[in-house]
Amino acid sequence: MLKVKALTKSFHNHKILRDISFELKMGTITALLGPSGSGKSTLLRCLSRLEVSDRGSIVFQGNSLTDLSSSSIGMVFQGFHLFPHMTVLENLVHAPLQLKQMTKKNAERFAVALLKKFDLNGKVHHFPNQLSGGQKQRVAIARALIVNPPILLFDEPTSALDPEMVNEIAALIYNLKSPDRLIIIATHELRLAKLIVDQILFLDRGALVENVSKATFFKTPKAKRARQFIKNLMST
Amino acid sequence: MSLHFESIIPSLPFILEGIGVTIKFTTFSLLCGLPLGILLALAKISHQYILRWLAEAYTSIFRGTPLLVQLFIFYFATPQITGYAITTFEAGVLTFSLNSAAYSSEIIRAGIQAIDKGQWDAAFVLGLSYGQTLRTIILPQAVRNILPALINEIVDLLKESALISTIGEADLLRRSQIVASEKYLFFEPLLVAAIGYYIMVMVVSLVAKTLERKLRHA
Repeated sequence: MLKVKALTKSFHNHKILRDISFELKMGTITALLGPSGSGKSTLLRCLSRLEVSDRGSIVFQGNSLTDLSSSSIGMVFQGFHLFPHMTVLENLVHAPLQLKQMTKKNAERFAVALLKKFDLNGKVHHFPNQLSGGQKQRVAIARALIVNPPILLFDEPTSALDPEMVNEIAALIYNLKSPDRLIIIATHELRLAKLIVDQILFLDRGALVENVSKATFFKTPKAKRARQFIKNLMST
Repeated sequence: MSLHFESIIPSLPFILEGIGVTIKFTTFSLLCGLPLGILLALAKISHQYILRWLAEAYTSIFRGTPLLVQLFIFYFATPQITGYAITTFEAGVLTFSLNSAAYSSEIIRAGIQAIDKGQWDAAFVLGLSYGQTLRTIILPQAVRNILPALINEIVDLLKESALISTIGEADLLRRSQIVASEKYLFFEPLLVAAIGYYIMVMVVSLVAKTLERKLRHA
């Protein structure tokens, strides 16, 4: 269980997150929705510990987020951020080896198995610039998964790719769903949310205005801003 | 016009020995200046205001005053201030190290900052520390941006090393001047010095080109 309580974050006196509280269960996929500038990315950065909140707490399985090891959280970035000077295999095993989380043999065996699962077995020794966008994303996912983190975060997983690939990404993420993992996706893509998500958090100007199941969100959204959001996106 | 290359032939070994002095001087200055330049660059990208300020002030001073003035201060004023009789070689290496550190720190800082911030983010989420990220993720990528400009800096250092002849260090230029005043011939020994510098610069450039090509393919 992930418990976020009264999370607040400002940049230069500008409030980005206002008193955000929610709880997410293990084994679920949650979409973080909201217009640009609503604070989705900042919330995701707080959850991945790239930002420190001003106030509030994030507790996972009874432990404060700050006490968790780096193998507890995996993040797949919008721009993937693969290491361009390393091969696909090195991208996966670099951090676990630097941090001595795994032996070289184990890390490589596990990495190769993961890459095979993501249909990348022919790309093990390729460099990122030799891969297509979809392949880069799968490498980024594999890199995040190598230490098997119970929290997996996605920042706009569809935005850097062709629109036709939404179903493919949805299937990919859905396959990562497991009882001992919690997945959060910050996205603009309602199709993705409709396809695979269990819970929806809707942010507006830094405040959490909806925290409901997918069915409720799409049928009877409470917040006016959420209704507007759905209408706008459906019409495009 | 009469040229008398034949009369400086006996002095050629003496002049050319200066190449060794120049290379030794440039190498020492580089070996001391580059690590300092890296430290300054790290201070410039640090989150500590005071470190950033110190590094910026340092750079500003060494880039804002003539190298020759710096050299004279270190050579002539050191004995006055500290009582230590500094040699020409020491004063030269000290000045050129401190000066080239200021220039190379700018090159290194720009090279590091040209790397996408996302690389830091990705490394931090994976659990790498600041030092591990810098060493294994950022610097290996930044080297491609840094190296060509840094080689230019080495070429500048090599050429400007001729300034140490003004405090009496027997480098390539100084030796050709000595021969000139002995023989009352100027063009011939100075031409030898110029060719000597040119060949050294060409060798450095050639090494740089090869290295750059290798890095591009790596």
